Amino acid sequence: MFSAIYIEDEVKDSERVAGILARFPDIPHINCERYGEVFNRKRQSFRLQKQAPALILASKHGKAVLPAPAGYGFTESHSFYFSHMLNCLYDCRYCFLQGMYRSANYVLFVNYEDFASEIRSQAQQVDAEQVFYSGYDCDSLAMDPVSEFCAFILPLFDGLQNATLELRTKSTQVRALLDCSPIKNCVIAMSFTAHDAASRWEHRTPSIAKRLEALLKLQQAGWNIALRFEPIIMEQGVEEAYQQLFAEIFSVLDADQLHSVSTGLFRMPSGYYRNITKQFPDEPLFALPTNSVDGVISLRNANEAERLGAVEKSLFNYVDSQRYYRCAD
Amino acid sequence: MPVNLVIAHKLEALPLIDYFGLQPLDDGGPASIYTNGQDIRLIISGMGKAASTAGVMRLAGVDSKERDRFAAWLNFGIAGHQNLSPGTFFSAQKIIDRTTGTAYYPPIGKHCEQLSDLISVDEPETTYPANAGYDMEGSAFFAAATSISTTELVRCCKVVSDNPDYPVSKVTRDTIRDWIGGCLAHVQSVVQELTAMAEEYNRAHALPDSYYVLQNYPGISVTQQHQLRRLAQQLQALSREPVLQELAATPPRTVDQLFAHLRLALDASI
Repeated sequence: MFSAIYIEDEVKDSERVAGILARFPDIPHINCERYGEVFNRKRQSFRLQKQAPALILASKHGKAVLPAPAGYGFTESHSFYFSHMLNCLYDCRYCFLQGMYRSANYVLFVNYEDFASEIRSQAQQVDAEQVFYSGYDCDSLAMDPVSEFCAFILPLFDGLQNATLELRTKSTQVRALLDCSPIKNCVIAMSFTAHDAASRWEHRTPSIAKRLEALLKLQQAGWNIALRFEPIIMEQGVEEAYQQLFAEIFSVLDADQLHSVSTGLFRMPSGYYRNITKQFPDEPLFALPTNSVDGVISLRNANEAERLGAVEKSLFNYVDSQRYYRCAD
Repeated sequence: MPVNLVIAHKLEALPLIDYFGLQPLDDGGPASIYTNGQDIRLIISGMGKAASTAGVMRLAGVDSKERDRFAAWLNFGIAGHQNLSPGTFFSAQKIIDRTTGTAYYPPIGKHCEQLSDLISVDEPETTYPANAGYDMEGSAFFAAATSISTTELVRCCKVVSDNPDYPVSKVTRDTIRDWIGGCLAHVQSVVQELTAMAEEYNRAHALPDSYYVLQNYPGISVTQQHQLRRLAQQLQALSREPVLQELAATPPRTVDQLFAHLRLALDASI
């Protein structure tokens, strides 16, 4: 599963770390002073490293909870995100993480208590509804069997009435959720792209059918579930591809019980995009002509808004528009 | 694409030269380079950090004649060790420069059955204070090689020559030859793994010959050469190399016209 496990000196005596290491006795355990020595060093190839990533167990210093980027998520104000993990088990070619980090290794910050403390403190600062997004710099659930983060963080939100937790994922690792009672202020948001896009660009991810199966179990167990259709890449036939995907999804899930549904187009900060094109110069997706506006790269498509409108129209055959939002450009 | 082997001493290098069928690339000098004429080069760098750095740089100078390609790098040789037995082959999982305290973390390859920390020292270590290997080149080699190549293509492997029960005073030419000779299959496995990775990396970054023709277009600026490179990558990724080939065969009259053609071809792929 990992080529090695690096252990930051600060956490080497932690019980949580001991538990993780005990589960992987045959993988090399290597001590390091700070995780940046391994993760942030120069001259790394994200692409080659992704073939056999290592796990780095570390302590998160500084702010653990940050304001969510504008337009991220389903509410305009009081949105925050936190990253108990950096990088993702999956290998989605369109993912901005490939350009954000020099390393494809996974960093797991094991000082969960510090995340909990900051979330609690933030939630208590104002009475208004607040949303905390997990899964911005990682997949929220993919590594859960190793991290056991869900089992730690869910009880916290159970006690925070004005705070909602969104777990963004493509994973089917939902056992920790199914093992406990649903928490009304927790949303499991599953990401999808259409079949052709998924087979071309989503590597090592569970199939659409498996994701749906996991979502159905969660919905039947009473969990709030949400659907995230992004990034939509406007290729020829995309309208029909999403029409087919929506038909498949809503033949399984109860659309009236969904927490929210969103779409988002392919967008990426230009610096990340530049880094990715250096790693993947042979990838057709990154060879397509682009536009750059205010430091954000988008694919140059004719009638993009109109075509997204057509995708939305298909979606509204199943979903009440009140539950829908479009991720900001 | 070559794997560059950086070996401190001729005694350590000879079994490898024989095993890989290497021949001298030049007529001697401060450091000697050997090659099989294909994918393996070896330099006898001399002992110590400065010599190892110089050896890497000298081989990199040979590499620079090969356009736009990364080589893989391997440092191999004997090392003392606190716990491992003489003759044991190991890969460095962490290299510490004892003088500066800097730590390096080589990637863990598929053929790394035995791993160990490696401490690079300035003088031979005879007391072996830590559970680690001791050499005199690893840290400098790794720093130099990763300044040229990508970290995933750089490794440092050693064979144990001495330990507290078998002091360095007992090490002879024959024992070195035997221990190095006993590790050749391990070295070959690492070389094969590095070769495969380097080939994959270079294949992804390779550009068509027509790009190199256009790169020398009269009057093209350095900035335009970078732009041309990216456009050539894009067209190649979109299976539109014929556009580059046509332009290389019958170049437009001006650089501006060249770029106009290339951008038009790219836009046509939308």
